[in-house]
Amino acid sequence: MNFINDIIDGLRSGSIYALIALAFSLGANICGIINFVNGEIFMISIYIIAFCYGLKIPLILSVIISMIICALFNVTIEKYIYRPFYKHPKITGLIVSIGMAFLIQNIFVLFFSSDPINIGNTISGQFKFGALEIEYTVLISILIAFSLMIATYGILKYTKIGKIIRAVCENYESTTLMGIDADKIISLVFAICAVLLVCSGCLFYLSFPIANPYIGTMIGLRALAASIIGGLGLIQGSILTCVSGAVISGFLIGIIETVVKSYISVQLSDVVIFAFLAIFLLVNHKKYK
Amino acid sequence: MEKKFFSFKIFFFVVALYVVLLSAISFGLINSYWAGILNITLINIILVVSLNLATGFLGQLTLAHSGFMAIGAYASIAVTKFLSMKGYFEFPLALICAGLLSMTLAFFISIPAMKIAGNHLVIITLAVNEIIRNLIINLNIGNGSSGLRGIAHYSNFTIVFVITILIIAVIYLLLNSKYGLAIVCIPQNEMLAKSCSINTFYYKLAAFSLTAFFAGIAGGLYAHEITVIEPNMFDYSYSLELLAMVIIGGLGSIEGSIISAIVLTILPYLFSFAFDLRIIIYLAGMIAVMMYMPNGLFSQYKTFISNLTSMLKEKKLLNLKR
Amino acid sequence: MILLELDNVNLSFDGIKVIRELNFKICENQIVGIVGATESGKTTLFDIICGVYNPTSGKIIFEGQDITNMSIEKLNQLGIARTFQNGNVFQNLTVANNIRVGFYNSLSYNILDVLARRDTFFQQEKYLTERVDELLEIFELVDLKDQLARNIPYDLQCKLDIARAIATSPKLLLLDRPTNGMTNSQAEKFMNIIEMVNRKFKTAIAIIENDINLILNICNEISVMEYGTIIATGEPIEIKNNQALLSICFGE
Repeated sequence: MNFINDIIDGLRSGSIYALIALAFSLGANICGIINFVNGEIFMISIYIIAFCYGLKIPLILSVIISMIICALFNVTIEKYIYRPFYKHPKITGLIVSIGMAFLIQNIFVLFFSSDPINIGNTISGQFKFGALEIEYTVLISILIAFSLMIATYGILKYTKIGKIIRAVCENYESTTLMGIDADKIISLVFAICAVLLVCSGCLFYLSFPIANPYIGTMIGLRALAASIIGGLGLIQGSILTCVSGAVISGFLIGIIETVVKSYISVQLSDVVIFAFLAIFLLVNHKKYK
Repeated sequence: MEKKFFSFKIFFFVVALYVVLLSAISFGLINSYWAGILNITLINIILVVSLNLATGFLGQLTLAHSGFMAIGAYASIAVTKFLSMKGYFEFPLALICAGLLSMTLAFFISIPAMKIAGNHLVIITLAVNEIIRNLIINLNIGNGSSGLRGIAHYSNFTIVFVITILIIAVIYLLLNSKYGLAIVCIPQNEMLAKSCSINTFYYKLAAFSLTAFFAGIAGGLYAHEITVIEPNMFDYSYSLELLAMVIIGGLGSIEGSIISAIVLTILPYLFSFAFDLRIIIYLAGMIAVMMYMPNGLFSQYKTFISNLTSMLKEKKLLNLKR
Repeated sequence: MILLELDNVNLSFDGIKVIRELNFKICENQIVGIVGATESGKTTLFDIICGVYNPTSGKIIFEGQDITNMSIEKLNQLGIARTFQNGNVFQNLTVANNIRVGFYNSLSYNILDVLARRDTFFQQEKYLTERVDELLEIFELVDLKDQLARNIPYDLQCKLDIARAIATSPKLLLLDRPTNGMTNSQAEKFMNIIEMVNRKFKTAIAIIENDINLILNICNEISVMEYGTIIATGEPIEIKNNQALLSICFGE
């Protein structure tokens, strides 16, 4: 019984990881740089939601405000910080990305304190399913994560804009030659990533009692592990498989984390996830370019 | 390559520097606070120059440097705490053990890791760093997350200075030989390097392990300087700070690394407002340097010095005998 | 005296046969030309000999030793050197250092010699500088010796690639379209250099060229490749005059 509860809790954190992993996958596929700032945007979105909700603005509106701010933020960073590095080797962009993430985190801590803030407690209550008690937040999280995954997959595969996005992912130059403003598409994808991150932040806000400025790196890193295992680097160019892979791995990581936390130790969950990631990359190196 | 054992100019400069600084410390011109900062600067020089070996010269960007430093720190403490020999015996032994342990671990990690392209290598080294840190906490090595206090302060100025100079000398001499030439051509064109009989796999292993060796020694020196450590000091953001120092100094420039380590360590202490902003300055500086001056801020020091001297000569401020 | 022999070598990538049942021989001190239409596998042949690809079946024997699955650097130590079709050089090294890297395997000092600053280290490095200067003169690159390799014109980069390959003191030198980017007169002068290398250093040379006329005079023997295998081998004049062969290759 405990085990099933763990799995259900794991699905809840997994939803959060899944959405962030999705943002990582989309961002990395469109411009080749793994956007570490995703973690910080996730963190900032939670703070914005908490701030707005504290001003008695209704939750939905807070989330929308957060989306607008975070989308603008992500797009600006892409345009001014990442874009100069597209022609450089990928490593340079990666270091800039990691540096930018910590820079943002430290500036944030400078202006706001590093003390944790209280969040959550907006939706409480459980859903009774036979002998199981599943909290509402769990259901909402899983539902939103899955719907967003299906929506993203559907948009990418079936709509015109989705095809344009996939085209830019495959070959930036050719799409510009065909008259598509590839830069605007990249900005669009970054905005979409920000929206996904805010959704994830909203789920976090609903599910957990406190947040601090460091959750961006902590949670972001695990979501990145999920994204890589789910196919970020493995299958070049096939953004569709990356999308579903990232989300499924996100849930997987969530489950692994909760299980390890209850049965072994809290800290060891990090080791397990990172060891898994390292071994995965080492074993699959032949498939990389 | 001039045929001399070592350059006398540099030797005398180093000895003079040592004598000046040592006297300043002994006679109290430099108080113990600043003497500590001096030691930390020297340790940072070791860290930055050794990191440059793997990232700037070999071209393999790694975020595991602070992890290997952590291993060195804890290993050296294990030796000094559990051996009851005189300080001047057990400390060098501790440092050597620290270096060797880090080097061995780096060796085994790099055997599979060196086959991976740069982008993913960064992620793997990040993972390795975090695994090391988390294992130290989890396996309760040295009190786990509470850290260790009361470490013997064995790192006096002389030892740290001598070791720093030795390490710089070793790296410099190696890089100015066939080994250096082989290492720098690997990131440029690995296939071509192999076509010149250079066993690139062996070189990547060797350079990476050597870098970790020096990181381990630096960790040992560091632990016995600040006498209090805890595993969360050695997270990957510290690796990133070191990387930022390397990049600001200039990838592939030893002199740049030395200057960058000195400037970036001392500056935040000189201006106390800068201290809180330290990380922000490093990272913003790193990104700015990568965007606008990809060769690094301090790697052009030779041009700078020669411009300066010619300018001063013109104004007859310097009267050098030819 | 057979230097290199390829015995029934096959190479497939994902089921597509790139090299099929190839038999090839070079004797010591010989200069052999390899011609053929584009994509007939000429560069791939060089890749196999040098160890870039391992054949899916067949054997390669060099100086009596089976080298079929050896690594690139081991093969270079044994004495096989090659150049690349698009003049691969080390972009961020100077011209002189590019050639110096080629001399890597002729340096026999070890780490202790370097750190202890022993005589053998200085002597070998000094001797090396002389040999580098010698090669720079032969290839007329002396003026550019401190320029970064990426800043020199393309045809000089090709020459640099060849100089580097020769610096590895090979017994067998594989030149892949060495006259790429050269004018006709430069190419003819260059053929003299190749002949000199063959004579002076006793190096066997295999040259891939698109223009058969360039290599007519210096080759002992020319092989024609088509669809991944050698369809004809013979004296240069015979090949040149064989209209049927030429039309297969160059489609007339």
